[in-house]
Amino acid sequence: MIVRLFGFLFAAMFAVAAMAAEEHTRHDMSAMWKKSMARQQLSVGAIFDAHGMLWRAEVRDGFIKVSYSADTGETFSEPVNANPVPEAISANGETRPKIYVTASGALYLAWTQSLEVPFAGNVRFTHSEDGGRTFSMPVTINNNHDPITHRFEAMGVNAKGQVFLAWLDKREAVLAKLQGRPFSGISVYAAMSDDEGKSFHPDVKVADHTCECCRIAMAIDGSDTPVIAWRHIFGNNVRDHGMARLDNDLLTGKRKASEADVQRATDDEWEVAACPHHGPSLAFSGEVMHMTWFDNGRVRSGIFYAHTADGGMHFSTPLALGNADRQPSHPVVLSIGQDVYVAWKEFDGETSSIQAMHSTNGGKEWGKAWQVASTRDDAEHPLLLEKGTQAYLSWNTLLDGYRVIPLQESGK
Amino acid sequence: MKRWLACLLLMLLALAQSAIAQTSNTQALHTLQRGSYRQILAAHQGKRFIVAMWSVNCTHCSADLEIFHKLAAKYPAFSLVMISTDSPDLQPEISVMLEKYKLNNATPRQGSIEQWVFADTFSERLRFEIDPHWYGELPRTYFIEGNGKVRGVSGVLEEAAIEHWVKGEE
Repeated sequence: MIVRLFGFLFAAMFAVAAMAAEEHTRHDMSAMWKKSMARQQLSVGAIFDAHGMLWRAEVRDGFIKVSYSADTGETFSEPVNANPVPEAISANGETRPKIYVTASGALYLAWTQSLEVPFAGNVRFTHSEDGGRTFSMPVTINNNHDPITHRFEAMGVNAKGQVFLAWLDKREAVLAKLQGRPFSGISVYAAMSDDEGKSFHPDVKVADHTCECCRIAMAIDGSDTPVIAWRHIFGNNVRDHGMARLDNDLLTGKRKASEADVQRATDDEWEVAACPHHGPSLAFSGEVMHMTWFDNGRVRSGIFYAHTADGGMHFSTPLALGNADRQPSHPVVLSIGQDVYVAWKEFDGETSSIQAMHSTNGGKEWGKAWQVASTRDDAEHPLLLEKGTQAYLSWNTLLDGYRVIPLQESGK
Repeated sequence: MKRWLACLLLMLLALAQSAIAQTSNTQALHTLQRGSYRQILAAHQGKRFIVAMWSVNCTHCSADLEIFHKLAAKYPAFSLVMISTDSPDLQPEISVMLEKYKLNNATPRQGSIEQWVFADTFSERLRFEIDPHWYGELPRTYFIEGNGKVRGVSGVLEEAAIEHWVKGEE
């Protein structure tokens, strides 16, 4: 009897311990991840098509909702779900859904799907051949399907109709860890479609040793080749920007990328082991590449604009943007011929605003900065769009909703 | 026999109670709202302390938590204010991290270790109140001297240098 009672006692003790342990694991990281994904998905993708129709991709309830507006964002069509099955889609901070409309009306969509494992994701893609009425079954673009980082994708489409995707990918870092090799940061991978998004070539590595949580920028150069820029880790831990030109030989696997493919784009000497969550932006006028970025280095601190005419060998002197006392952040650049626009976010202690600057001579000289819009609560990073020769700000805010505002210098 | 059983049940009850007491022995997670940071500074006026900004979503932050865990154990007078830039609904996850590094024990010690979490959708405003020149990168640490002088550092800290500071040698 006593033995049985002791047995009961031990069983009960074990049960109490198990309850405590369960209480502990219930608060695991994947629940955290889900919760953070369930929060406000403020960041939207948008683009004007050849007819001046505004297309928008928003994330709600696990769907990419695609709608269009004939009146520059005043009213929108009933949205269509681009993915038939809801998934955890990341659309805040550095990540927004990407949308592109071709001259013939084909739509391309790319987004980051978040997985249960913290920091893990997949780059997803779908396309529409009937003007956004129906979409193909979404596919995962990264060929490695481990539950690790494949996130922060950038998308570009050139005049030949080739579709390009580049993203941050942890597979090399994971492999190095398994083999006991040191490996700083993660990698950049890319993939290309030659058949209007129906299929993609196997993905290829562009570079190792990148920052883990800053968005990648992509723009198409004057010879229809995508160029990407990202926060790279140079030397021991210097987080400056690298850029690379993704030629067809690289993207079709005819050649492998080497260290020579990475061109250093900034020399601000930010030596830090931190997560800045603050990636660059690119635009091309012919062969001239415009770039904006954030850095907090020994040489330079703040947000900057510069351009290069020789693929990043030489840059113009970086131009500091914004009021350094107002947290200037997340600059973006857009070029329409010789007209170049930059926009960024500022905060004055009460109000968040989007500030902009305009150059009419390819970024050589700039007019004064002006305020485009403001709001008194959370808002996404700015996005610049073009409709014909007019530039617009696309900006989603928590309090004031979604707005599309023409970039018109004050006093003009 | 019945007495035996009653005795065992009592023991069990005590065991369960001590388990509950243990889980509630963790300190409160304060919510950082408008004006809170000024109050934190005022409450620490004249003291030397560290303010550590971190997040459960920051891949580099656990390295700092490890350093603070070691220093808090080694130097009972060391005062630390930790501010998570996550939101209050992540309290369970924040607690798991703090428990892992034993940074949320409510047992009184000479120096205080406080836990705060961003509680405003407008995180820019909270960031601005803490430091208008902080761009939001994490981890971010402020070394505050008794005379109110502040030095901000971005990125993972160096343990030896922080220990020097905590010992008052720097």
